[in-house]
Amino acid sequence: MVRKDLVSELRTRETVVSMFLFVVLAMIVFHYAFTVPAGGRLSLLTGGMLWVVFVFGALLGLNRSFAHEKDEGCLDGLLLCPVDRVTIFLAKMTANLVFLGLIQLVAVPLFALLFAPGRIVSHLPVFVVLTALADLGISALGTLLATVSMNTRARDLLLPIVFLPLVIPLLIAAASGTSAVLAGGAGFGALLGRLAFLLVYDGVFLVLAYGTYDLAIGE
Amino acid sequence: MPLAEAVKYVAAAYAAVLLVLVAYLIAAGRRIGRLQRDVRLLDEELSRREGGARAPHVG
Amino acid sequence: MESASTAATKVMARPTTPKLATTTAILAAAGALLTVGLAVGFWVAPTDASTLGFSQKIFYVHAPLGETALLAFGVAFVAALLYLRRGDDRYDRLGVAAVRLGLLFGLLVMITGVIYDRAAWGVWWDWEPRLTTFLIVCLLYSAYFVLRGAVEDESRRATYAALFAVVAFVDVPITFFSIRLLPAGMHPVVIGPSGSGMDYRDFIAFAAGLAGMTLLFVGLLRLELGIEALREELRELKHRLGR
Repeated sequence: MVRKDLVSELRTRETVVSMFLFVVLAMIVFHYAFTVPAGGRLSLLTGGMLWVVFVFGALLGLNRSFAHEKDEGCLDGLLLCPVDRVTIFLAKMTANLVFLGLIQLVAVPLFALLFAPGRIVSHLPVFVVLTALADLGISALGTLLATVSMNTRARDLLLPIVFLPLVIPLLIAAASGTSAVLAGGAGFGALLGRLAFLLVYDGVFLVLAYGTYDLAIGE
Repeated sequence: MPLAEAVKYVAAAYAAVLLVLVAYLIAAGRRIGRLQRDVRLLDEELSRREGGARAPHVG
Repeated sequence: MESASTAATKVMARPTTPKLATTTAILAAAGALLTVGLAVGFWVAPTDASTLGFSQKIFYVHAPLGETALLAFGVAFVAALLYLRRGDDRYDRLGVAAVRLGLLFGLLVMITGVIYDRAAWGVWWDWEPRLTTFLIVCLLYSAYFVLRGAVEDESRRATYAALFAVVAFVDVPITFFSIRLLPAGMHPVVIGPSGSGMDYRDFIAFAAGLAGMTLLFVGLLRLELGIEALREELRELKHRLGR
């Protein structure tokens, strides 16, 4: 099962590269899109910007990872394996999680460089936990929905439509939390509510995905 | 907020609700009418076909 | 060849919209309840003492609409679960009807809510939790229909739709709480009209409104299901005719 996971990763290095390119380009676009007086209130926006970039990057990654499998007919081969459907879910989810984590690993320092705030470094633990929890939610929900939308007609188009409304709560928690860290250097205490919320969110959707993945992937 | 203005808003809200509901009911009524007509037409055609198939034996 | 009269009798004997009489009765009862509730609300209940004043009267229709919309989505949730468990197509049809009505009521919630906010706080849109949640919810359930339209495989359509209905409904409370999570002071969290508790006359108006709205929902649901039944019949007839 873990092997399957690794195979998925290795095969699709292209996915990670595209995601990364997107993220970097998006940040540049944001820099020019939001012209704010120097210093100023930019820090309030940056948390949100970061997460918008991550969410859309994740969408890209999700689309690609499944489209590739679907086109190559790998999915059918995978289903023939005498493996629990749910394990497929966990494998795919972990793969997506890793993709997201990888690009974030590079994107965040880059982000700090481009947009200056050094607060991330000083509050690294909180930021990492927050990001990890958010990533988990995105990957779980995203993998479930991507599986569904891959079997439809307008697959690339459908995924954002079904995914974005559902991910808004997560986005709110992650973005506002990140902004709080960047703007005022909030610590674990201040972010506790958001972290707890993300935990609940992740729990709920993981359970949902776990319980319904058989149906999603179909026969 | 002065009463006269408030009344306008309240009236607008209720009018909107009524309007949308009535519009929905009218649309639903039309849908039903159309469907019933189509069902009737197809039903006639079906019975005509079956009647026609049986005709040689009946006649 | 069958005579025209025999054909006509056959058509008339077929039940087209079953139980239409009951549906009409339900709708009539709904209308009556709503009218009573509104009458009480407008003539009997006192004008709100707080800054809302007369505008508070909008709430008599806004709140029941909101609760009924959520009820509709709840029905869709249960229907979806039942479909996933039992595979009966009727649950799928129930789900579609429920979501459609949920969106209808949701639209009305947004309209009345926006007017209410303008009358109460002077702003058309303030990103406050109640309306923002409903906006997101409406967008979410619109995606339900987009999803249905996009699934080519008929056998999967209902399953995916049911899946989505389940996930979506779970997301509703989550969304609401997440918006409230935002830094305090950004939005006043208002579920109901401000003021010291509810006058009993207000309560009657609310209760009547809620009951009436719920009955309206049930009546409209039956209407939708009747339409769906007709569509099924049409499909079957077409099939038998070889089209």
